[in-house]
Amino acid sequence: MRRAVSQIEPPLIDLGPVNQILDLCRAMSLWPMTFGLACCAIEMMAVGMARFDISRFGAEVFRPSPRQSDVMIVAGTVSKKMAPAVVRLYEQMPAPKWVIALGNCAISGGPFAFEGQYGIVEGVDQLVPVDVYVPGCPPRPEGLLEAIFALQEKITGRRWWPQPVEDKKA
Amino acid sequence: MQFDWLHAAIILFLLAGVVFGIGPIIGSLLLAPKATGGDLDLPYECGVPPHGAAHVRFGINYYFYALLFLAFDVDVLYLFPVSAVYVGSRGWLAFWELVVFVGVLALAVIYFWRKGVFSWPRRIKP
Amino acid sequence: MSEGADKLTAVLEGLANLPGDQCWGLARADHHRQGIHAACQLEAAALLPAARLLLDQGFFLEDVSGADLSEGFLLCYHFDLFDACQRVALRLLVPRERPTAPSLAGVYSGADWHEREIFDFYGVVFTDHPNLKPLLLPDDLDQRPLVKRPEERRSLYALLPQEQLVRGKP
Repeated sequence: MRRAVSQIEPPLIDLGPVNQILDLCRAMSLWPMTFGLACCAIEMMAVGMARFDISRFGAEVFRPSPRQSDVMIVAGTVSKKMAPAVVRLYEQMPAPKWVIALGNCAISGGPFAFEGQYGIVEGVDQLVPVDVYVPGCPPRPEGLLEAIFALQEKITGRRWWPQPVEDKKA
Repeated sequence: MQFDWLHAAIILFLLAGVVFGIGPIIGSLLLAPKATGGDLDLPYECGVPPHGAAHVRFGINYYFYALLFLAFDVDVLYLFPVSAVYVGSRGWLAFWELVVFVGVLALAVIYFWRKGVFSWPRRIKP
Repeated sequence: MSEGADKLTAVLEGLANLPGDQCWGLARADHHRQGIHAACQLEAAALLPAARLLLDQGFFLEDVSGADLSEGFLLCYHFDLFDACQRVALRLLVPRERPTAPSLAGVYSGADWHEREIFDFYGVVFTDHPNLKPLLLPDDLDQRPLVKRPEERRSLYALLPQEQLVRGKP
């Protein structure tokens, strides 16, 4: 079960202002790769539907192929049998690429992290470099939306959407 | 014939089309980071190493779509310039050429009509 | 409904005609308590003839499951009728020191993957299996996860009702 070996070389024209504009464009149109492995995939599907609408934030286009996607949302439990496929698909994505670990199983194995675990990879960051972790079992769809915002903040340097308002009366 | 603005416009249009296609490729060559290493060059087959030949037989049903596209779309496309110059033609030759052209394509339409491709079945009652 | 009961009776008569040392414990069961209408214990040589009997009467294979008991591995085959509620369980006890069993994939092709899963988790080798590779576990795993420690195993005679364990003809 090997880690992903993927070197990213910087672009030929590496100017600050150009990179700023391009990073803004990339952040506002992140194309996720559908990588729903288990129950968190349902939450990912809910985010793609009308109520939680991820297409407002540019990430509607879920591409099944790694060749056309920017961000790999690992939604669900990664088994040791599936691990080589996860690594291979990550390596087949062109740069720039990011990874969101959705749910407890992708972060650390979740409920399957116990002594004597024989079949589940305890955390997808043992295989690929992860940019955003979304805790929850499963996290709310709003959690995945916040993960997209956090990734946009990581790419561009600031958060572009209002913070959710705390409900003091609750 | 003289070189006038119409020719210049056509050449410019052609150039714009080429730039529209090649421009983003050059743009990503210059402006995007490159990923290397690992299985990047492996052909994509859902995360597993590909097995079997890449050349598979096409399903014959796609040939139907191609034929119908020819019969309707390309037919009309070629009839547009015909409609512009037909009025200036003399004799019956142009007419018979047109009949042969439309007739051959109409054969495809009649074949599919007899196959029932154009009829929609009754709505299935719940 | 009665047509299903007729088929079940035909199956039970066929099973009763098998040699006495190869098919024992043949009994009807209480569907409300056990969920099956009939059960019997088989030896390895009788498995394929019994399965052909069930296939001739229109029964379909529901699953092939396993249990680790103190007498050995118990393989449990469940067969159902789809248009009437009739369920039959065939059980095969496999010794632990030589865990082999005949493969049902030649009669019911759906048993292919069930037997691969049992091979994964118990280590039972199915002879004449078309493709006995690991199904769910990684290829290089050297443990059989569902095999219990000796002190945890229970006995067949403690788990099944008495009439399904009687040797000799009823």
